[in-house]
Amino acid sequence: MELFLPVAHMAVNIWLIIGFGLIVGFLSGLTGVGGGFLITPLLIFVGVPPLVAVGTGAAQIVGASAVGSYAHWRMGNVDMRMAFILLAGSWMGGLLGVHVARILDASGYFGLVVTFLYVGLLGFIGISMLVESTLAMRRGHHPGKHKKKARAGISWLDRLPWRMEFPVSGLRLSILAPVLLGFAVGIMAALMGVGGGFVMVPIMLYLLKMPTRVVVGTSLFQLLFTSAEVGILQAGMNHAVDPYLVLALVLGSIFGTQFGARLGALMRGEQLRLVLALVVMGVAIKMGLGLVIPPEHLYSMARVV
Amino acid sequence: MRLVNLCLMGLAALMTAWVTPVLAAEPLVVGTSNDLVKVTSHFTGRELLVYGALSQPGQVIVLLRSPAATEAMLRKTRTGPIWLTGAKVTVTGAPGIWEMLSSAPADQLLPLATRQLLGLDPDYLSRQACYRPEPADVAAWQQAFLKNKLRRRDYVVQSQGVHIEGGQLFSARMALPASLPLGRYTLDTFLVRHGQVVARQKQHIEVQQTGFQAWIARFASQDGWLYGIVLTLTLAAMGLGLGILMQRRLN
Repeated sequence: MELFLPVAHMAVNIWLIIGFGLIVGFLSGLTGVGGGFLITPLLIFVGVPPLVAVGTGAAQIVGASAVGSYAHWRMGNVDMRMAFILLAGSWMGGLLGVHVARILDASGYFGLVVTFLYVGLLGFIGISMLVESTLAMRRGHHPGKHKKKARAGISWLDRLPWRMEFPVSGLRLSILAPVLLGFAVGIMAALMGVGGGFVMVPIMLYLLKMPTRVVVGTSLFQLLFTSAEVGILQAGMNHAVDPYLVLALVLGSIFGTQFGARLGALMRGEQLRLVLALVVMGVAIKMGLGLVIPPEHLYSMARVV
Repeated sequence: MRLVNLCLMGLAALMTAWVTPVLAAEPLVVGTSNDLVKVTSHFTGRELLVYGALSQPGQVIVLLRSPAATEAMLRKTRTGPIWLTGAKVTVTGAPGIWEMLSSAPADQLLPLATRQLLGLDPDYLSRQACYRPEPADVAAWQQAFLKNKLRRRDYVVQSQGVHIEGGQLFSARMALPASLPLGRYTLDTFLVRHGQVVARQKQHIEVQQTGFQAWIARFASQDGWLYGIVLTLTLAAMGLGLGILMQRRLN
């Protein structure tokens, strides 16, 4: 069914977009990794203007993460104090990022910057997942022995000022660390349309040393509100959130996630992560090739905001 | 297709039979399949039929032109192994849609000066547009603008696009693309003989957004902030509601 997108200003088969949501949701339910970083490149591949792809990508995370956040919140897996301090940082980062996106788009460089960021980010995620999953598959026969002991506390983190108690996580920590972490995630949400869980979760686990139980809940909870802020800013400031695209993506991803999660429970994690790693690498390579292959047309038309 | 064509011819013939005695002096009578194009969510382009009758022999040129639009263009340049976006230029003053159909190549029908004057020369249109910030090699941008518009089928030149039958009836099919600038389009029909325009008919075609599409497009562009807030709340509610429903169903 061809629909004309009122914000992206193009006709698209809406089943294709629902299909994207379904596939990305399925992968994300299967592996537990949020799929925001696949949505934006897919939208760009079908010709959605980069800023609309990024804005719509951020907004769809609201719908895709709502139910998970709610579930974790009800189970008490959210460190609220931590979440609000993260949000203080990420809302500032989101505001700055959306401004930067606006300036870059007006000068015509946004598409290029997004491509560079994605090639770098997806390349990094893909390679690290590839390495991690192959290592895990190799030592799969001796489970339980590979947990590294926590390293000695990182001294610079302990020396930061403005320390605060986080009773839920059982930590005493400078608020600068979560504020900066949130800030970085907010900028990523604004410039790339991703939730940033793949950055936030490892940092919370290994750097801030938060207990595993609250890490996923807290990161999901904060990214719901970060993407809500970025979505509203992208719509209000940049007119970059397409209603049909975002509804189709959310619809697809909700169904996809549920089926993915059901199937994921029956399969081995390492193999699933290997599959996702290969998908991510494929997207990174496709985007990277776009930078080096001589363009078919030197001149192209762009969106006028 | 053939049948529609025949019907139209019949219609045009009927029209002439009826009109001719009354307006014997009228050299050119023109009708269109619609004078209002409604753009809805399902609008993915449409065919516009232009038909009519000539009281004297000649060639016909049909020109459809939308209001002037603002467009942005990017140019890529090579830096090392990588193709970067080199420059962005905003183009104003050229029509968003421009379609010229004729019964013979327009450059054989009318001299250049006349074509430029009547807006029948696409090169001239692209040169008349305003390019900001003014690039050093503006001629290259003008050419690229025209090429891009032609490639996107926003600009169309069809030198065999008007069919004249029996020297009296003509018809033309114009393809309107999915992405149409809104507003009042002009449809000009010219009857040409011996390098001169002997008759001209001007009509207007309204292109409007209607229904939900019009509402949501206006909401998103005029009240962006409110739209963003409403949309975000809707998405959260939808995600939550459907998610919980799905979990209950599957459990």
